[in-house]
Amino acid sequence: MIFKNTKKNGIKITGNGDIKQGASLLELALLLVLFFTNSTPILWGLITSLKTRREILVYPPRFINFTFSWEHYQNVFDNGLGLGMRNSLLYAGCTIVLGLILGLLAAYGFERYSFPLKKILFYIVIAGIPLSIGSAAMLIPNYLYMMNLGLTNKWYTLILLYTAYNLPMAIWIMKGGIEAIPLEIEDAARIDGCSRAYIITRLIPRLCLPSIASSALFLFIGAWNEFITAAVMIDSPNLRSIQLVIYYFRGFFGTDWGGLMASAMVAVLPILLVFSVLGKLMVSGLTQGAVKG
Amino acid sequence: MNVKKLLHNYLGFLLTLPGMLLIIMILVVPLFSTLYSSFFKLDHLQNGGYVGSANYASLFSDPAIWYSFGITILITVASAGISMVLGLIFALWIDRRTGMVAYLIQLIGLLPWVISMMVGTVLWRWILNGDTGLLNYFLRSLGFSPIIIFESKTASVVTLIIVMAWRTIGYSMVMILAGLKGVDNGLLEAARVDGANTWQVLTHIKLPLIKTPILLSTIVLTMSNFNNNTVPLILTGGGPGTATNVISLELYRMGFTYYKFGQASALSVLVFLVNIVFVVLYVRMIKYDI
Amino acid sequence: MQKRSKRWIAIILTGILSLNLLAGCSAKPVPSQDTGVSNKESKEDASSQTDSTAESGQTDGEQVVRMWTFLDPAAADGRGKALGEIIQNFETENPNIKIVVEPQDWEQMTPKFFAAHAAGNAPDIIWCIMDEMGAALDLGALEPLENLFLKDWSEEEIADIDDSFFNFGTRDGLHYQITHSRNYMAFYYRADLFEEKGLSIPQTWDEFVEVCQALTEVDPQTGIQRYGFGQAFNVDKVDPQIMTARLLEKQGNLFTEEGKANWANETGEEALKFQLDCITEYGITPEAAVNLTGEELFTEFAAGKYAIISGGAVRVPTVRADVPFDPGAVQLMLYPSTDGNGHAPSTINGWCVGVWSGSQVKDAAGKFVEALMSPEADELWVTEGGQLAIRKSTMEKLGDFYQNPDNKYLTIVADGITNAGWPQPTDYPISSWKNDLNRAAQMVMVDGKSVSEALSTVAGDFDTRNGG
Repeated sequence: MIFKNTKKNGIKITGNGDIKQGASLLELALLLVLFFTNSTPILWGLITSLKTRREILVYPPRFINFTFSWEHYQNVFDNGLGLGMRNSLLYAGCTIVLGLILGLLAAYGFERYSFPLKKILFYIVIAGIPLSIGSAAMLIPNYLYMMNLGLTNKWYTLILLYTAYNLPMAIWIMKGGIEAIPLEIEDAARIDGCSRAYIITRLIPRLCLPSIASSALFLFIGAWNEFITAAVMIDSPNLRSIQLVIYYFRGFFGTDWGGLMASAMVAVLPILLVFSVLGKLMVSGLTQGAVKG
Repeated sequence: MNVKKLLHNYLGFLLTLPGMLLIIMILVVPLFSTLYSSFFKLDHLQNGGYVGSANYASLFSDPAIWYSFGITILITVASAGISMVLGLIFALWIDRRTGMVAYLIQLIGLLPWVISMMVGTVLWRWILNGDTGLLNYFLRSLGFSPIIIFESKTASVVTLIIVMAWRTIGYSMVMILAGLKGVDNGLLEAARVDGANTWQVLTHIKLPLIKTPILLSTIVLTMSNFNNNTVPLILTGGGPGTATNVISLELYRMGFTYYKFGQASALSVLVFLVNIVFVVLYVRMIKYDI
Repeated sequence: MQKRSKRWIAIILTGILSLNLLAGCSAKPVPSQDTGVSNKESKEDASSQTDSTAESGQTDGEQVVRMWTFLDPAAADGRGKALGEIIQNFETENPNIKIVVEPQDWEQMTPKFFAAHAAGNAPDIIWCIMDEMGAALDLGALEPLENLFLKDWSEEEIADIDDSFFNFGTRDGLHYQITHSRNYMAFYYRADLFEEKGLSIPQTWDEFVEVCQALTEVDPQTGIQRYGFGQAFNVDKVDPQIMTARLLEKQGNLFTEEGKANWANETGEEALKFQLDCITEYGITPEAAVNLTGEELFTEFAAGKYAIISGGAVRVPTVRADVPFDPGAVQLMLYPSTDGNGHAPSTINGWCVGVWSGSQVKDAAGKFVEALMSPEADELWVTEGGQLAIRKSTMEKLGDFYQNPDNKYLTIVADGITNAGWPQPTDYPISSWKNDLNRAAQMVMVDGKSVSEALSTVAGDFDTRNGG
């Protein structure tokens, strides 16, 4: 059977064309409303970052009639945003790689095998989610622990920590993705002479790309937007992550609104970039129809 | 031959080993050290001696802690629920579109999640400010009376729920969308051929098949909101009074304002246990098989 | 076959788990009594690590001194630049000493320092917030400056820096810190509005209320409802509010000699009542004060919502850079008093710069702490950083600088510090008294408790927390 993927053309096959068009207009209007309610803070932050310093706190607030200025963007780059970004790209990038490797292996192990302790280990994975999200609470004990292990303030400190924090979720997501791959495919590959290693490293990833892409996105965002662990585990100024640079503008002497907003806006861009790349993979739906026919 | 067979039988275990080692070393072991610390008096990190379960006893007998747990559960469940429902709607909507439109919707849904949590919350606090904020400025220009938020107990709770939900919609949207894309088209076509309408397709086919992403998102959102201390701290500071005094704020205060690390460790352990209870509940509700 | 493989697995697992548990249990807090031995061990570990970061210690005759502060010498702001210059000058004069600054987030810095001290791996120089100086001393984390450079100072030199800041946190006559970023709570006021309405600086609290009432109106230009006096009772991000001043005026101290809270009495009730009457009776403070943060006081002041707010003097340059109106209109005045003679005492605060007791390069660190307040450095702090001077000689030398009307506030604050300044006690723990007083205010306004009930509740909480 050949399936025509009705979604690919963006056309919903309904009764008549009129209904389809009406829905589109309504959807556009809804989209606009949603855009404003969802993004008002971010829009306001963007506008703030483009104003001259003295206009930021003025009342009544100005959205259009303000003097445009790049001063805050210049200021944040003078204050180390470039370095912060470079470091965070390193941390987040390595977290993705390490997280995907460890996560895929573990997910395959959990999904396709049964072994003693499997349930316990998976419970640990599940427990890892509250442990990682709540790690801010145990921050000082964590700091002492890391220091005893000699793991603080190194270039790989945050990579290890961020991978560990986001690994439970990555494992779970990829396990779900592997679950959806029918066993018959792997059996067929074995019969064709593929080694187990080939299956795990080449075949499976291609078949569950959406899960891998989602995990990659979460690993990236988890590593990019994290603040408190970075603030405590890192001392050296040349190892600072981008969040530390952003928080600098909320300093002891007061908040530098322009700097805060400018740095936050710049920090959003790499995530959007990563999302653009991964987004397509996440919705590619490659597993459909792979077995039939 | 023995080694090979051993390796094959336990290949699964070996595959999980590196990841599990990392998780255990970085996440699980500190839990034990926190547990250990919770039996001591540790003001300002000075070892004040073993106190047994005194830290726990003082927590259990403090009505403020009970209240705090209660209000945290309320706020967490409400915001996670709203976020899940909206994320589901977004995901279903995007699923029906492709190309630029889908991309735009996803982007709009993602923006609250990708912006630094502190900055987003700071912006909300500014926008919702009674006199100088955007919201009331608009309301006043349109002739309405301004909304009072941060001095009012109920308005603060509602606003906290909304902002926390706002922040996490993108997460559930992405998760559920990935799950939806994994649903076999063949099944959907077969169902429609059999005469099912859109709603029945949704409830009987799609939803059951995306059980895992829904479960995972719900768990992560609940954990995320329960343990979040940045948003409550910046948005309402636990006030007015104790209206929004969530447990993560109590924990933060105990450690970083009062410097009572022994008690804070005890509270961390309790918070972790409550989190586990949530997880177990969810897994049971959805009847998830490991 | 099965049994054997199962046994192997059991052995491996036990090994892994026990290793992990050992690692976990060894990470318990170090008893603070004797950190000498553990310091050495961790230092050896530290120097055997290879990384791109600086480690304190000696290498080939060069000494590396690590300093934690919230300032960033690489940053573009005035204070950061001043610090950068001071470091440059110091390193030129002392080619064998290298100063490495590790800027920290100011909120995490002090707890992080305590943890680092417990682990035996703290920086050589630390900027400790004044509120926690008592705790730092109790932990034995700081080195007496007498051991380092103070013993070589002449009497005149000491007289130049001798003030309440210098004597803050002394134990047994030994000094443990030099205070930088000196702060003093005073009233920011809109000089332009005062002039417009022909108002003069209030000398008594009653005059203060009158002045504020005269300033409470709808601003004709911006349409914002202006209040005479802005207050902030948020429980987490706190500055001392004016009830502190009124309490201190009558009692002289917020605590008893044993370190118990001393505000659950008539004086305290009167002080809290006055604070809240500003909202309910005099109408000079908006209700929003109930959950406002100190930070928001400043942003709303800039928006023109308040004519007067209480704030730390250290923020004047930042406020002036932010306001959309004439920056020169932002001026400072000291708290009034009940009878018009003098001023009610106000909290002094600042960052205590000290040397870590476990440092391997104490003398070099001490040298830099000395350099941070050299006459040249002090000038830089004042002129570039907009800070209060540490030395009396600096204030004399920069006479012209202080004559400038923009810098008049510095002299006002210096006067306040000398004659009406209250340093926080360090002999007993006083963590979070400011939060407690604000909590009392919230209890009355939000939960409807009576003033006396609120005060005694938070006093009880304070005592349990700090005494027991």
